[in-house]
Amino acid sequence: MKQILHIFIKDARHQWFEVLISLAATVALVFTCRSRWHAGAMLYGGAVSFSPLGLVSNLPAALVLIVPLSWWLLISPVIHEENLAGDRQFWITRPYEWKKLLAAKMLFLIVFLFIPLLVAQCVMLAEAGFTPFSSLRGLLYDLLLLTCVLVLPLIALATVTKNFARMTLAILGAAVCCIAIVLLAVNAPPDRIAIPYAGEIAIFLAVCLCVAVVVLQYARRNLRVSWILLALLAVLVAGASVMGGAPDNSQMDRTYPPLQLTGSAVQFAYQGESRTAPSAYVAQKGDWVGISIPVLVSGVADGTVTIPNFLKVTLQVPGGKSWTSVWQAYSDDKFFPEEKVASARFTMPRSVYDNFLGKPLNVQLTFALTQARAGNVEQFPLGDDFAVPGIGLCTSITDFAEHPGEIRGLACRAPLRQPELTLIHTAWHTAPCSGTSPNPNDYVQTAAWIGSIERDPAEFGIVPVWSSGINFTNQFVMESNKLTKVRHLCPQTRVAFTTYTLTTRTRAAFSIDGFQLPRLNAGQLTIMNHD
Amino acid sequence: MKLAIRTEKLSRRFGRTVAVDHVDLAVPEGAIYALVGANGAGKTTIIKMLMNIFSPSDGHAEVLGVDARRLAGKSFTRIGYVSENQELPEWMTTGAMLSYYRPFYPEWDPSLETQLVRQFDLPLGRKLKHLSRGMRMKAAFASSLAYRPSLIVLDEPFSGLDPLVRDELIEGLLDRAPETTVFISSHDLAEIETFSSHVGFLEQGRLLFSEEMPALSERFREVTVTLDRPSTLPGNCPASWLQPEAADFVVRFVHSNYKQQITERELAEFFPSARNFSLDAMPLRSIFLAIAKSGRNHAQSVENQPAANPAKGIKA
Repeated sequence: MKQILHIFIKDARHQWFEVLISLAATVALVFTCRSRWHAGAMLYGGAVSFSPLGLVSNLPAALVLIVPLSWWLLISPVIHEENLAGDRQFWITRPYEWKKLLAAKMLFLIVFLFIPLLVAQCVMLAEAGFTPFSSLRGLLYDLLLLTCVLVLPLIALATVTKNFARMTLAILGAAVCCIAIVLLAVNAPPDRIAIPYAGEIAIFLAVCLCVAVVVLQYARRNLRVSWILLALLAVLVAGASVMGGAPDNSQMDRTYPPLQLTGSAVQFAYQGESRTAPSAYVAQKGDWVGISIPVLVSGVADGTVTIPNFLKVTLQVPGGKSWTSVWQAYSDDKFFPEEKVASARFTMPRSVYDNFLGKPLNVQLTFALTQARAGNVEQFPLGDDFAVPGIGLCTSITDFAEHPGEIRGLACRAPLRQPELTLIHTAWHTAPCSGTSPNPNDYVQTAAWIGSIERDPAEFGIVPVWSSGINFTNQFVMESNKLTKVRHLCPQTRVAFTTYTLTTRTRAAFSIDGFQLPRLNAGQLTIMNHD
Repeated sequence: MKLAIRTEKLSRRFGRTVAVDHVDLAVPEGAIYALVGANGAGKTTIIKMLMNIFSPSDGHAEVLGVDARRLAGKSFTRIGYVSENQELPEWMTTGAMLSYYRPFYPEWDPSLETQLVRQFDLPLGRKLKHLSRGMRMKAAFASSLAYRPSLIVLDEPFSGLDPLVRDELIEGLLDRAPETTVFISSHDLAEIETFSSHVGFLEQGRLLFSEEMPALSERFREVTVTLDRPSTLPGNCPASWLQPEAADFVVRFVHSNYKQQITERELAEFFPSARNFSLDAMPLRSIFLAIAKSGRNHAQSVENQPAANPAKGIKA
């Protein structure tokens, strides 16, 4: 312990300037976030501007990037103080014990990086109106994520480089690798099936490899093996990205069991006679074709919402060839108890499309669905900030209002992550806000969704507060593609929050007989992203 | 005899280049062992293997009874290492560096530290990066002597230093010599000769000889034979004759295996018409040059042929 403290004190004395920069960046982030939250409505949803207020509102975004950069400035010198690459270092023939040296470096990072960050996150939570103590588990989870994604790779790169310049080059190299990996993944065939848990295994192995590099460098200073491990890491990440794709059937069977097992009553039917006829679009540089089929959705139970997550399609020529898609991600949509005509969209290879075009087909569409049940409805009058149980704090946006007292929208913030999936209802006013009760004709109903069904303890991020403006529908009145009017909210208007909690995940399927693939509409080519 | 350093077939390759080739060393405790050789002979590589900075490709080394591959942490409380190109914590002042190192060594002697600081005239308040090369080397020496190490390993410590600094360093080193073993690599032969007890000669990664300094000096003689008529070199010169050359009435060479009676008899047999023999003792520098040049000439003359040891006949 004596040696650990001795090295730690030496590092603290030498790296005080880097520590100061890192602390200053963290403190600046806390202060800018605090001013943003305290300024409340004035700074939510404001357009990017160079006014002092605009600058303050954009500072947190810049500081969220600057803080990790300051970690880079902190990690590089403290590791390179006793650098592990080379054969001329002063310390390698001195009685340093590698475990103690590593412990001293970790102590330095705990004291000057992790503890300040944790304290800063607690302060930010408190300033945002939340209790840090109740979020401690989430904060530690977030710290773990930040360590695995940012800090650990930076430490690993510092241990295999001689100085800051070399480390910078290594980081640039890693960035080039990442770009190449993204390009590989983007250009990989969209119908590839992911190896089950490939992502999770790759992340676990990546963290293990980073830890192995750090330990190996401190224990043996074996640069060649360490670089091989890092190259392996790059290959692993590239492999996981390229291998990643549509979920495989066994994984889907586990997550979305068939209908009879769950008793879901959601029904789908082909709506060939609807206003929206089936259509086809060019997707993926002409190699793929997007198909949209109108589908009537019914049978969603009262007080629930059904969210389609994936869609799988089988096309079959009676007595002939067939083609089955992989599980394709479904576009953002939600089904309510009321009947609804939705568009079932999927993509298929151009060659398959050409092969099946003009032939009567049996089509089977299988939806993977998430069902959520509505919980309590909480109502609040607009005006002052208000706390919504299960969500967080919401505040009215008053900047850029045409008249005093008008509210241009709503913004909410939640601790550590997105709130639970919530439907927000309110009503726009078209007439000026006055003290008298407005005419019912001056109301336009509006709704918005926020949050997510998925509930991790925390989302990855340096600022532990999720905040977002609420995108209500019907705010803008358009005529001939021109914005003619912006609707507003008035103080004391009621806003209703309905939270939804996950009840089940299931699947539902239906068939269409004698379906003919629509012809590509040459006049309205649309590029669809397959994801 | 206890050995401070022992190596067996110690080898190191860098790719296809053999930097050190099956070196067997035995450095007795208390010796001042000088490892000499031309640039690139493999001296630094051997030292780095002894200090566990490099791993051997083959063979084995022991330092103070510890396998060199396991040399780490506390083992270095008994070893002092100074190298000409060693990095130092440049941002520290000399005083801060000594204070920083102090707690690492249980045997650190503050009074000796004070004495060394005074002896080397070290400016304690100046940062190492602002010191001259000589001063930095003195600071490195002081920080490696103050804990009375059992073994001091020095890699080209005098390289590029002015004579005054060299003398100061040698003096500081010799003050500690009775209580420690010194292993020093150098091609500064004049200094080495003045204080070394043992010498090893390394060429192209191979140890050509390793022996006590007096025995070495005794073994090498510069021979000048004056003949009564012009003559050429005998065709069957012994391998122990290095750099033989003949010019008119004189034949010169370096005898690498001189033994008074045997050599005189040998000379009489080879040069029956000799008028005079001159057998002069040689300084280490001349011995080193003779061996090095002999090796190079030999290598040139037998290019593309199986190489014979250029120092064949030299006692190893």
